[in-house]
Amino acid sequence: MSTPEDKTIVQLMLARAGLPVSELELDKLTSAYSQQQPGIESLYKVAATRYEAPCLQFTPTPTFADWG
Amino acid sequence: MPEIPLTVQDAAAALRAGELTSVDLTQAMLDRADELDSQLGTYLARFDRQALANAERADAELRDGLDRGPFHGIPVGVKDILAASEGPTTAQSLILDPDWGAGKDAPIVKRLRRAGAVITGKTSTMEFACGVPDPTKPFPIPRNPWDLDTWPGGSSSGTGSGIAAGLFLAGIGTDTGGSIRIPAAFCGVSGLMPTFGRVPKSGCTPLGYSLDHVGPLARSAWDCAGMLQVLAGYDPSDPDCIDVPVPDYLSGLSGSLAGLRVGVERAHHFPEERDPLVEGCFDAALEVLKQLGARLVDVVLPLYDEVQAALMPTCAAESLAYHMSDAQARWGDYFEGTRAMLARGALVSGADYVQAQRLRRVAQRQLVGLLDTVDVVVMPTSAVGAFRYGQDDLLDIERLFKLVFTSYWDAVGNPALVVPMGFTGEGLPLSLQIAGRAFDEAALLNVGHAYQQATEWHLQTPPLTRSTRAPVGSAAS
Repeated sequence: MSTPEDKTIVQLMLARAGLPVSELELDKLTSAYSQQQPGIESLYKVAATRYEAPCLQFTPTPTFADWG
Repeated sequence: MPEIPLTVQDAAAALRAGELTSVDLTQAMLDRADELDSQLGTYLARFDRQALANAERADAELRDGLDRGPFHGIPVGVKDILAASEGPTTAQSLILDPDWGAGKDAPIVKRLRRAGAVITGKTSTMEFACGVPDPTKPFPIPRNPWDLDTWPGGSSSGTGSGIAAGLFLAGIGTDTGGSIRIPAAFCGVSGLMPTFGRVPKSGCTPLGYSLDHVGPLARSAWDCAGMLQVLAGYDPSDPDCIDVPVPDYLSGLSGSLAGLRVGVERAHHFPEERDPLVEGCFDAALEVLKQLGARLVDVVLPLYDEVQAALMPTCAAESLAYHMSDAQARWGDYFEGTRAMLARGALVSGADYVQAQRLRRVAQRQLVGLLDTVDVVVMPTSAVGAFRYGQDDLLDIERLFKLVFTSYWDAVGNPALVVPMGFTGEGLPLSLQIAGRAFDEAALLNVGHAYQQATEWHLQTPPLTRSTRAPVGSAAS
Protein backbone atom coordinates (compact mmCIF):
# COMPACT_ATOMS: atom_id res chain seq x y z
CA MET A 1 0.00 0.00 0.00
CA SER A 2 1.55 3.29 -1.04
CA THR A 3 1.59 6.37 1.17
CA PRO A 4 1.36 10.09 0.31
CA GLU A 5 5.09 10.27 1.13
CA ASP A 6 5.75 7.58 -1.49
CA LYS A 7 4.00 9.69 -4.10
CA THR A 8 6.05 12.75 -3.16
CA ILE A 9 9.31 10.79 -3.35
CA VAL A 10 8.40 9.25 -6.71
CA GLN A 11 7.35 12.61 -8.10
CA LEU A 12 10.65 14.18 -7.04
CA MET A 13 12.81 11.36 -8.38
CA LEU A 14 11.03 11.36 -11.74
CA ALA A 15 11.28 15.13 -11.95
CA ARG A 16 14.99 14.91 -11.13
CA ALA A 17 15.42 12.43 -13.98
CA GLY A 18 13.44 14.69 -16.30
CA LEU A 19 10.90 12.03 -17.23
CA PRO A 20 7.58 13.67 -18.22
CA VAL A 21 5.21 11.04 -16.83
CA SER A 22 1.45 11.51 -16.88
CA GLU A 23 -0.62 11.63 -13.70
CA LEU A 24 -1.83 8.07 -14.36
CA GLU A 25 1.75 6.88 -14.82
CA LEU A 26 2.73 8.64 -11.61
CA ASP A 27 0.04 6.75 -9.71
CA LYS A 28 1.13 3.41 -11.19
CA LEU A 29 4.79 4.14 -10.47
CA THR A 30 3.97 5.12 -6.91
CA SER A 31 2.32 1.75 -6.50
CA ALA A 32 5.29 0.01 -8.16
CA TYR A 33 7.69 1.92 -5.89
CA SER A 34 5.88 0.84 -2.77
CA GLN A 35 6.00 -2.76 -3.99
CA GLN A 36 9.66 -2.52 -5.03
CA GLN A 37 11.05 -0.85 -1.89
CA PRO A 38 10.64 -3.76 0.56
CA GLY A 39 12.56 -5.95 -1.92
CA ILE A 40 15.36 -3.40 -2.18
CA GLU A 41 15.47 -2.99 1.60
CA SER A 42 15.71 -6.77 1.94
CA LEU A 43 19.00 -6.67 0.00
CA TYR A 44 20.63 -4.74 2.85
CA LYS A 45 19.39 -7.27 5.40
CA VAL A 46 21.37 -10.19 3.97
CA ALA A 47 24.23 -10.41 6.45
CA ALA A 48 26.54 -12.09 3.96
CA THR A 49 26.65 -8.93 1.85
CA ARG A 50 28.39 -7.03 4.69
CA TYR A 51 31.92 -7.61 3.37
CA GLU A 52 31.07 -8.76 -0.16
CA ALA A 53 32.28 -6.90 -3.23
CA PRO A 54 29.73 -6.08 -5.94
CA CYS A 55 29.68 -7.83 -9.33
CA LEU A 56 30.99 -4.73 -11.08
CA GLN A 57 33.98 -4.89 -13.36
CA PHE A 58 36.55 -2.22 -13.88
CA THR A 59 39.86 -2.75 -15.59
CA PRO A 60 42.55 -0.14 -16.20
CA THR A 61 43.60 -2.03 -19.32
CA PRO A 62 40.44 -2.46 -21.35
CA THR A 63 40.39 -3.81 -24.87
CA PHE A 64 38.35 -2.04 -27.50
CA ALA A 65 37.01 -3.71 -30.61
CA ASP A 66 34.17 -2.69 -32.88
CA TRP A 67 31.67 -5.14 -34.30
CA GLY A 68 30.26 -5.39 -37.78
CA MET B 1 7.56 -35.35 -51.20
CA PRO B 2 8.13 -35.29 -47.42
CA GLU B 3 6.36 -32.91 -45.05
CA ILE B 4 8.34 -29.96 -43.71
CA PRO B 5 10.57 -31.49 -41.04
CA LEU B 6 9.88 -30.29 -37.50
CA THR B 7 13.47 -30.20 -36.32
CA VAL B 8 16.80 -28.95 -37.59
CA GLN B 9 18.18 -32.43 -36.94
CA ASP B 10 15.63 -34.04 -39.28
CA ALA B 11 15.93 -31.32 -41.90
CA ALA B 12 19.73 -31.56 -41.90
CA ALA B 13 19.50 -35.32 -42.40
CA ALA B 14 16.96 -34.92 -45.21
CA LEU B 15 19.14 -32.33 -46.96
CA ARG B 16 22.10 -34.69 -46.89
CA ALA B 17 20.04 -37.68 -47.97
CA GLY B 18 18.87 -35.74 -51.02
CA GLU B 19 15.24 -35.96 -49.89
CA LEU B 20 14.97 -32.20 -49.63
CA THR B 21 16.65 -29.07 -50.89
CA SER B 22 17.22 -25.91 -48.90
CA VAL B 23 15.37 -23.95 -51.60
CA ASP B 24 12.28 -26.17 -51.29
CA LEU B 25 12.43 -26.07 -47.50
CA THR B 26 12.88 -22.30 -47.38
CA GLN B 27 10.15 -21.69 -49.95
CA ALA B 28 7.72 -23.94 -48.05
CA MET B 29 8.37 -22.04 -44.84
CA LEU B 30 7.98 -18.66 -46.56
CA ASP B 31 4.71 -19.90 -48.03
CA ARG B 32 3.54 -20.86 -44.58
CA ALA B 33 4.49 -17.40 -43.36
CA ASP B 34 2.38 -15.92 -46.19
CA GLU B 35 -0.56 -17.87 -44.85
CA LEU B 36 -0.13 -17.45 -41.09
CA ASP B 37 1.90 -14.39 -40.27
CA SER B 38 -0.95 -11.91 -40.54
CA GLN B 39 -2.47 -13.77 -37.57
CA LEU B 40 0.73 -14.41 -35.63
CA GLY B 41 2.75 -11.21 -35.94
CA THR B 42 5.94 -13.25 -36.09
CA TYR B 43 7.94 -11.16 -38.55
CA LEU B 44 8.87 -7.50 -38.50
CA ALA B 45 10.80 -7.89 -41.76
CA ARG B 46 11.18 -10.73 -44.26
CA PHE B 47 14.21 -11.32 -46.45
CA ASP B 48 12.61 -13.68 -48.98
CA ARG B 49 14.86 -12.82 -51.91
CA GLN B 50 18.11 -13.03 -49.96
CA ALA B 51 16.93 -16.14 -48.11
CA LEU B 52 16.17 -18.00 -51.34
CA ALA B 53 19.50 -16.92 -52.83
CA ASN B 54 21.31 -18.18 -49.72
CA ALA B 55 19.31 -21.41 -49.83
CA GLU B 56 20.37 -21.90 -53.44
CA ARG B 57 23.99 -21.34 -52.45
CA ALA B 58 23.64 -23.84 -49.59
CA ASP B 59 22.23 -26.45 -51.97
CA ALA B 60 25.12 -25.88 -54.38
CA GLU B 61 27.70 -26.11 -51.61
CA LEU B 62 26.23 -29.30 -50.23
CA ARG B 63 26.12 -30.77 -53.75
CA ASP B 64 29.79 -29.84 -54.15
CA GLY B 65 30.71 -31.55 -50.89
CA LEU B 66 31.11 -28.41 -48.77
CA ASP B 67 29.24 -29.17 -45.55
CA ARG B 68 29.13 -26.31 -43.03
CA GLY B 69 27.37 -28.36 -40.36
CA PRO B 70 23.79 -28.98 -39.26
CA PHE B 71 22.59 -25.41 -39.87
CA HIS B 72 23.73 -25.40 -43.48
CA GLY B 73 20.63 -24.55 -45.54
CA ILE B 74 18.34 -24.27 -42.49
CA PRO B 75 15.79 -21.39 -42.29
CA VAL B 76 16.39 -19.32 -39.18
CA GLY B 77 14.70 -16.23 -37.70
CA VAL B 78 16.62 -13.46 -35.91
CA LYS B 79 15.10 -11.25 -33.21
CA ASP B 80 14.91 -7.66 -34.38
CA ILE B 81 17.21 -6.22 -31.74
CA LEU B 82 20.20 -7.79 -33.51
CA ALA B 83 21.82 -6.21 -36.54
CA ALA B 84 21.66 -8.05 -39.85
CA SER B 85 22.93 -6.53 -43.07
CA GLU B 86 19.75 -7.22 -45.07
CA GLY B 87 17.82 -4.37 -43.49
CA PRO B 88 17.43 -1.93 -40.63
CA THR B 89 17.00 -3.00 -37.03
CA THR B 90 13.94 -1.48 -35.36
CA ALA B 91 14.02 -3.01 -31.85
CA GLN B 92 10.24 -2.79 -32.46
CA SER B 93 10.52 0.87 -31.51
CA LEU B 94 10.00 4.33 -32.92
CA ILE B 95 13.05 5.42 -30.96
CA LEU B 96 16.00 3.49 -32.37
CA ASP B 97 18.01 5.45 -34.93
CA PRO B 98 17.27 3.76 -38.30
CA ASP B 99 20.98 3.98 -39.10
CA TRP B 100 21.96 1.92 -36.06
CA GLY B 101 23.87 -1.11 -37.33
CA ALA B 102 22.91 -0.33 -40.92
CA GLY B 103 24.49 -2.74 -43.38
CA LYS B 104 26.29 -4.63 -40.62
CA ASP B 105 25.96 -8.06 -39.05
CA ALA B 106 26.11 -8.64 -35.31
CA PRO B 107 28.93 -11.12 -34.58
CA ILE B 108 26.47 -13.94 -33.96
CA VAL B 109 24.66 -13.19 -37.23
CA LYS B 110 28.03 -13.48 -38.98
CA ARG B 111 28.54 -16.82 -37.28
CA LEU B 112 25.13 -18.03 -38.45
CA ARG B 113 25.98 -17.06 -42.02
CA ARG B 114 29.34 -18.83 -41.82
CA ALA B 115 27.46 -21.92 -40.68
CA GLY B 116 25.30 -21.68 -43.82
CA ALA B 117 22.07 -20.74 -42.04
CA VAL B 118 19.37 -19.15 -44.20
CA ILE B 119 18.13 -16.05 -42.38
CA THR B 120 14.51 -15.61 -43.40
CA GLY B 121 13.85 -12.35 -41.56
CA LYS B 122 13.71 -10.34 -38.37
CA THR B 123 11.27 -11.44 -35.72
CA SER B 124 9.02 -9.44 -33.43
CA THR B 125 10.06 -8.56 -29.92
CA MET B 126 8.87 -6.29 -27.16
CA GLU B 127 10.20 -2.74 -27.56
CA PHE B 128 13.97 -2.97 -26.87
CA ALA B 129 13.20 -6.43 -25.43
CA CYS B 130 11.11 -5.10 -22.56
CA GLY B 131 7.59 -4.01 -21.81
CA VAL B 132 4.55 -5.53 -23.48
CA PRO B 133 2.69 -5.18 -26.78
CA ASP B 134 1.18 -1.74 -27.29
CA PRO B 135 -1.72 -1.53 -29.76
CA THR B 136 -1.24 2.23 -30.10
CA LYS B 137 2.13 1.72 -31.82
CA PRO B 138 2.60 0.69 -35.48
CA PHE B 139 3.91 -2.82 -34.85
CA PRO B 140 2.16 -6.20 -34.90
CA ILE B 141 0.69 -7.66 -31.73
CA PRO B 142 2.43 -11.03 -31.39
CA ARG B 143 0.08 -13.97 -30.94
CA ASN B 144 0.59 -17.51 -29.72
CA PRO B 145 -0.03 -20.21 -32.36
CA TRP B 146 -1.52 -22.48 -29.66
CA ASP B 147 -4.28 -19.94 -29.01
CA LEU B 148 -4.39 -16.64 -30.85
CA ASP B 149 -5.99 -14.95 -27.85
CA THR B 150 -2.87 -15.58 -25.81
CA TRP B 151 0.56 -13.98 -25.62
CA PRO B 152 3.42 -16.00 -27.10
CA GLY B 153 5.65 -14.74 -24.31
CA GLY B 154 8.36 -12.21 -24.61
CA SER B 155 10.44 -10.64 -25.43
CA SER B 156 11.61 -13.06 -28.13
CA SER B 157 7.95 -13.41 -29.16
CA GLY B 158 8.35 -13.83 -32.90
CA THR B 159 11.18 -16.31 -32.61
CA GLY B 160 9.06 -18.49 -30.31
CA SER B 161 5.85 -18.26 -32.33
CA GLY B 162 7.68 -18.71 -35.63
CA ILE B 163 9.28 -21.99 -34.58
CA ALA B 164 6.04 -23.31 -33.07
CA ALA B 165 4.13 -22.43 -36.25
CA GLY B 166 6.82 -23.73 -38.59
CA LEU B 167 7.78 -20.43 -40.22
CA PHE B 168 11.45 -21.34 -39.62
CA LEU B 169 13.14 -24.19 -37.78
CA ALA B 170 15.22 -22.28 -35.24
CA GLY B 171 15.96 -18.75 -34.20
CA ILE B 172 17.80 -16.29 -32.06
CA GLY B 173 16.43 -14.80 -28.90
CA THR B 174 17.80 -12.73 -26.04
CA ASP B 175 17.16 -13.20 -22.34
CA THR B 176 17.42 -10.53 -19.62
CA GLY B 177 14.67 -11.73 -17.27
CA GLY B 178 13.40 -14.71 -19.25
CA SER B 179 12.98 -13.50 -22.81
CA ILE B 180 14.26 -16.69 -24.46
CA ARG B 181 12.69 -19.10 -22.01
CA ILE B 182 9.25 -17.50 -21.56
CA PRO B 183 8.34 -17.58 -25.29
CA ALA B 184 9.89 -21.03 -25.61
CA ALA B 185 7.73 -22.22 -22.71
CA PHE B 186 4.50 -20.53 -23.82
CA CYS B 187 4.94 -21.65 -27.45
CA GLY B 188 5.85 -25.26 -26.63
CA VAL B 189 9.41 -25.28 -27.96
CA SER B 190 12.88 -25.49 -26.42
CA GLY B 191 15.13 -22.56 -25.58
CA LEU B 192 18.54 -22.12 -24.01
CA MET B 193 19.84 -19.12 -22.11
CA PRO B 194 23.61 -19.71 -22.18
CA THR B 195 25.94 -18.61 -19.40
CA PHE B 196 26.47 -14.83 -19.27
CA GLY B 197 29.48 -14.15 -21.50
CA ARG B 198 29.30 -17.42 -23.46
CA VAL B 199 27.81 -15.78 -26.56
CA PRO B 200 28.81 -12.24 -27.67
CA LYS B 201 26.00 -9.72 -27.39
CA SER B 202 27.59 -6.94 -29.41
CA GLY B 203 25.46 -5.84 -32.34
CA CYS B 204 22.42 -6.25 -30.11
CA THR B 205 20.59 -3.28 -28.57
CA PRO B 206 21.04 -3.54 -24.79
CA LEU B 207 18.36 -3.88 -22.14
CA GLY B 208 20.32 -4.68 -18.98
CA TYR B 209 24.06 -4.69 -19.63
CA SER B 210 24.88 -7.12 -16.82
CA LEU B 211 21.87 -9.35 -17.52
CA ASP B 212 21.59 -9.69 -21.30
CA HIS B 213 22.15 -13.13 -22.84
CA VAL B 214 21.87 -14.15 -26.51
CA GLY B 215 20.85 -17.73 -27.26
CA PRO B 216 18.91 -20.24 -29.36
CA LEU B 217 15.29 -21.31 -29.56
CA ALA B 218 14.34 -24.43 -31.52
CA ARG B 219 12.06 -27.42 -31.20
CA SER B 220 14.57 -29.73 -29.53
CA ALA B 221 17.53 -29.68 -27.18
CA TRP B 222 19.56 -31.26 -30.01
CA ASP B 223 18.75 -28.30 -32.24
CA CYS B 224 19.63 -25.85 -29.44
CA ALA B 225 22.95 -27.67 -28.97
CA GLY B 226 23.69 -27.36 -32.67
CA MET B 227 22.90 -23.68 -32.68
CA LEU B 228 24.89 -22.97 -29.52
CA GLN B 229 27.85 -24.57 -31.29
CA VAL B 230 27.52 -21.88 -33.93
CA LEU B 231 26.92 -18.96 -31.57
CA ALA B 232 29.32 -19.64 -28.69
CA GLY B 233 32.83 -18.32 -28.35
CA TYR B 234 34.82 -15.23 -27.52
CA ASP B 235 34.50 -12.01 -29.45
CA PRO B 236 36.48 -8.96 -28.29
CA SER B 237 33.71 -6.56 -29.31
CA ASP B 238 31.67 -7.59 -26.25
CA PRO B 239 33.50 -6.58 -23.07
CA ASP B 240 31.49 -9.16 -21.12
CA CYS B 241 32.30 -12.05 -23.45
CA ILE B 242 34.58 -14.60 -21.80
CA ASP B 243 37.38 -16.45 -23.57
CA VAL B 244 36.76 -20.03 -22.46
CA PRO B 245 36.85 -23.24 -24.53
CA VAL B 246 33.65 -24.23 -26.35
CA PRO B 247 32.99 -27.98 -26.11
CA ASP B 248 31.47 -30.11 -28.87
CA TYR B 249 27.88 -29.89 -27.72
CA LEU B 250 26.38 -32.38 -30.16
CA SER B 251 28.85 -35.13 -29.38
CA GLY B 252 28.10 -34.56 -25.69
CA LEU B 253 24.48 -35.62 -26.16
CA SER B 254 24.86 -39.17 -24.87
CA GLY B 255 21.21 -39.48 -23.87
CA SER B 256 22.31 -41.20 -20.67
CA LEU B 257 21.58 -39.71 -17.26
CA ALA B 258 23.08 -42.59 -15.28
CA GLY B 259 24.35 -41.30 -11.96
CA LEU B 260 23.41 -37.70 -12.68
CA ARG B 261 22.46 -35.80 -9.52
CA VAL B 262 19.36 -33.75 -10.25
CA GLY B 263 18.30 -31.14 -7.71
CA VAL B 264 14.52 -30.72 -7.56
CA GLU B 265 13.35 -27.22 -6.55
CA ARG B 266 9.76 -27.09 -5.35
CA ALA B 267 9.97 -24.46 -2.64
CA HIS B 268 9.62 -21.41 -4.90
CA HIS B 269 7.82 -22.90 -7.90
CA PHE B 270 4.28 -23.79 -6.91
CA PRO B 271 2.47 -20.57 -6.00
CA GLU B 272 -1.19 -20.68 -5.06
CA GLU B 273 -2.18 -19.16 -8.41
CA ARG B 274 -0.91 -22.08 -10.52
CA ASP B 275 -2.37 -24.19 -13.26
CA PRO B 276 -3.93 -27.33 -11.74
CA LEU B 277 -1.93 -29.57 -14.07
CA VAL B 278 1.54 -28.11 -13.64
CA GLU B 279 2.50 -30.16 -10.60
CA GLY B 280 1.43 -33.42 -12.23
CA CYS B 281 3.33 -32.60 -15.42
CA PHE B 282 6.43 -31.74 -13.38
CA ASP B 283 6.18 -34.98 -11.38
CA ALA B 284 5.77 -36.96 -14.61
CA ALA B 285 8.88 -35.27 -16.03
CA LEU B 286 10.82 -36.15 -12.87
CA GLU B 287 9.73 -39.76 -13.24
CA VAL B 288 11.12 -39.79 -16.80
CA LEU B 289 14.45 -38.41 -15.57
CA LYS B 290 14.52 -41.06 -12.84
CA GLN B 291 13.81 -43.81 -15.36
CA LEU B 292 16.74 -42.51 -17.41
CA GLY B 293 19.07 -43.05 -14.46
CA ALA B 294 19.06 -39.67 -12.69
CA ARG B 295 19.22 -39.47 -8.92
CA LEU B 296 16.72 -36.92 -7.60
CA VAL B 297 17.59 -34.77 -4.59
CA ASP B 298 15.40 -32.04 -3.08
CA VAL B 299 17.14 -28.66 -3.02
CA VAL B 300 16.28 -25.06 -2.20
CA LEU B 301 17.78 -22.27 -4.30
CA PRO B 302 19.68 -19.81 -2.10
CA LEU B 303 18.39 -16.26 -1.63
CA TYR B 304 15.62 -16.81 -4.16
CA ASP B 305 13.44 -13.84 -3.18
CA GLU B 306 16.40 -11.50 -2.76
CA VAL B 307 17.84 -12.41 -6.16
CA GLN B 308 14.46 -11.70 -7.73
CA ALA B 309 14.39 -8.39 -5.87
CA ALA B 310 17.87 -7.52 -7.16
CA LEU B 311 16.98 -8.07 -10.80
CA MET B 312 14.43 -5.32 -11.31
CA PRO B 313 16.46 -2.36 -9.96
CA THR B 314 19.49 -3.64 -11.86
CA CYS B 315 17.65 -3.94 -15.16
CA ALA B 316 15.69 -0.72 -14.72
CA ALA B 317 18.74 1.37 -13.82
CA GLU B 318 20.88 -0.09 -16.62
CA SER B 319 18.16 0.40 -19.23
CA LEU B 320 17.40 3.97 -18.12
CA ALA B 321 21.08 4.87 -18.44
CA TYR B 322 20.96 3.75 -22.09
CA HIS B 323 17.66 5.52 -22.84
CA MET B 324 17.82 8.64 -20.63
CA SER B 325 18.18 11.33 -23.28
CA ASP B 326 15.56 9.79 -25.58
CA ALA B 327 13.23 9.20 -22.64
CA GLN B 328 13.45 12.85 -21.64
CA ALA B 329 12.86 14.10 -25.19
CA ARG B 330 10.50 11.51 -26.69
CA TRP B 331 8.65 9.95 -23.76
CA GLY B 332 5.40 9.43 -25.66
CA ASP B 333 7.12 7.58 -28.49
CA TYR B 334 8.00 4.71 -26.15
CA PHE B 335 5.57 1.85 -25.53
CA GLU B 336 3.63 2.05 -22.27
CA GLY B 337 5.43 -0.99 -20.82
CA THR B 338 8.84 0.37 -21.75
CA ARG B 339 8.03 3.68 -20.09
CA ALA B 340 7.07 1.81 -16.92
CA MET B 341 10.40 -0.03 -16.88
CA LEU B 342 12.49 3.04 -17.65
CA ALA B 343 10.77 5.17 -15.03
CA ARG B 344 11.45 2.51 -12.40
CA GLY B 345 15.13 3.02 -13.12
CA ALA B 346 14.78 6.58 -11.85
CA LEU B 347 13.49 5.25 -8.52
CA VAL B 348 16.69 3.31 -7.78
CA SER B 349 19.51 5.00 -5.88
CA GLY B 350 23.16 4.44 -6.75
CA ALA B 351 23.66 2.64 -3.43
CA ASP B 352 20.66 0.38 -4.12
CA TYR B 353 22.14 -0.52 -7.48
CA VAL B 354 25.50 -1.44 -5.97
CA GLN B 355 23.85 -3.37 -3.15
CA ALA B 356 21.94 -5.40 -5.75
CA GLN B 357 25.30 -6.31 -7.31
CA ARG B 358 26.70 -7.32 -3.91
CA LEU B 359 23.65 -9.51 -3.33
CA ARG B 360 24.11 -11.13 -6.73
CA ARG B 361 27.66 -12.05 -5.80
CA VAL B 362 26.61 -13.56 -2.48
CA ALA B 363 23.96 -15.59 -4.30
CA GLN B 364 26.52 -16.77 -6.85
CA ARG B 365 28.80 -17.89 -4.03
CA GLN B 366 26.02 -19.87 -2.34
CA LEU B 367 24.83 -21.31 -5.64
CA VAL B 368 28.32 -22.62 -6.40
CA GLY B 369 28.07 -24.46 -3.09
CA LEU B 370 24.69 -25.93 -4.03
CA LEU B 371 25.95 -26.98 -7.47
CA ASP B 372 28.80 -28.88 -5.81
CA THR B 373 26.14 -31.20 -4.42
CA VAL B 374 24.00 -31.62 -7.57
CA ASP B 375 24.82 -31.49 -11.29
CA VAL B 376 21.68 -29.67 -12.43
CA VAL B 377 18.55 -28.18 -10.86
CA VAL B 378 15.09 -28.69 -12.33
CA MET B 379 11.86 -26.76 -11.80
CA PRO B 380 8.82 -25.70 -13.83
CA THR B 381 9.56 -22.76 -16.14
CA SER B 382 6.18 -21.27 -15.36
CA ALA B 383 3.31 -22.09 -13.01
CA VAL B 384 0.80 -21.32 -15.76
CA GLY B 385 0.31 -21.51 -19.52
CA ALA B 386 0.48 -18.50 -21.81
CA PHE B 387 -1.09 -15.31 -20.46
CA ARG B 388 -4.39 -14.35 -22.02
CA TYR B 389 -4.81 -10.98 -23.73
CA GLY B 390 -7.61 -8.99 -22.12
CA GLN B 391 -7.54 -11.05 -18.91
CA ASP B 392 -3.98 -11.03 -17.62
CA ASP B 393 -2.35 -7.66 -16.95
CA LEU B 394 0.94 -8.04 -18.80
CA LEU B 395 2.15 -4.77 -17.27
CA ASP B 396 2.05 -6.30 -13.77
CA ILE B 397 5.71 -7.32 -13.64
CA GLU B 398 5.52 -8.38 -9.98
CA ARG B 399 2.78 -10.90 -10.82
CA LEU B 400 4.62 -12.08 -13.94
CA PHE B 401 7.69 -13.03 -11.94
CA LYS B 402 5.61 -14.72 -9.24
CA LEU B 403 4.25 -17.07 -11.91
CA VAL B 404 7.23 -17.36 -14.28
CA PHE B 405 10.51 -18.63 -12.83
CA THR B 406 13.18 -17.40 -15.18
CA SER B 407 14.69 -14.22 -13.71
CA TYR B 408 16.71 -15.88 -10.92
CA TRP B 409 19.00 -17.44 -13.52
CA ASP B 410 19.56 -14.16 -15.39
CA ALA B 411 20.65 -12.50 -12.18
CA VAL B 412 23.17 -15.20 -11.23
CA GLY B 413 24.33 -15.69 -14.84
CA ASN B 414 24.09 -19.49 -14.90
CA PRO B 415 22.72 -21.26 -17.98
CA ALA B 416 19.14 -22.56 -18.13
CA LEU B 417 17.39 -24.73 -20.74
CA VAL B 418 13.62 -25.06 -21.06
CA VAL B 419 11.82 -27.94 -22.76
CA PRO B 420 8.10 -28.70 -23.17
CA MET B 421 6.64 -31.08 -20.55
CA GLY B 422 2.88 -31.19 -21.20
CA PHE B 423 -0.21 -29.03 -21.51
CA THR B 424 -2.70 -27.15 -19.39
CA GLY B 425 -6.34 -28.17 -19.49
CA GLU B 426 -6.83 -25.43 -22.09
CA GLY B 427 -4.22 -27.00 -24.35
CA LEU B 428 -1.47 -24.47 -23.65
CA PRO B 429 2.11 -25.74 -23.33
CA LEU B 430 3.81 -26.25 -19.96
CA SER B 431 7.56 -26.33 -19.62
CA LEU B 432 10.41 -27.84 -17.61
CA GLN B 433 13.45 -25.71 -16.75
CA ILE B 434 16.90 -27.26 -16.27
CA ALA B 435 19.65 -25.02 -14.88
CA GLY B 436 23.23 -25.73 -13.96
CA ARG B 437 26.79 -24.61 -13.45
CA ALA B 438 28.32 -21.68 -15.28
CA PHE B 439 29.61 -22.74 -18.72
CA ASP B 440 28.19 -26.24 -18.30
CA GLU B 441 25.49 -25.88 -20.96
CA ALA B 442 26.51 -29.35 -22.16
CA ALA B 443 25.04 -30.96 -19.03
CA LEU B 444 21.70 -29.18 -19.46
CA LEU B 445 21.51 -30.02 -23.15
CA ASN B 446 22.17 -33.67 -22.41
CA VAL B 447 19.38 -33.76 -19.82
CA GLY B 448 17.02 -32.06 -22.27
CA HIS B 449 18.04 -34.38 -25.09
CA ALA B 450 17.65 -37.50 -22.97
CA TYR B 451 14.22 -36.31 -21.83
CA GLN B 452 13.17 -35.65 -25.42
CA GLN B 453 14.38 -39.08 -26.52
CA ALA B 454 11.86 -40.49 -24.04
CA THR B 455 8.98 -38.06 -24.64
CA GLU B 456 7.30 -36.32 -27.58
CA TRP B 457 6.12 -33.05 -26.03
CA HIS B 458 8.60 -31.08 -28.16
CA LEU B 459 7.14 -32.54 -31.36
CA GLN B 460 3.55 -31.39 -30.74
CA THR B 461 2.25 -28.83 -33.20
CA PRO B 462 -0.47 -26.21 -32.70
CA PRO B 463 -3.84 -26.95 -34.36
CA LEU B 464 -3.51 -23.71 -36.36
CA THR B 465 -0.60 -25.14 -38.35
CA ARG B 466 -1.92 -28.59 -39.05
CA SER B 467 -3.97 -27.55 -42.08
CA THR B 468 -0.90 -25.88 -43.58
CA ARG B 469 1.48 -28.83 -43.40
CA ALA B 470 1.82 -29.03 -47.15
CA PRO B 471 4.51 -31.33 -48.50
CA VAL B 472 7.81 -29.64 -49.13
CA GLY B 473 8.27 -28.90 -52.81
CA SER B 474 4.58 -28.80 -53.66
CA ALA B 475 4.46 -25.03 -53.39
CA ALA B 476 7.65 -24.48 -55.31
CA SER B 477 6.89 -26.91 -58.12
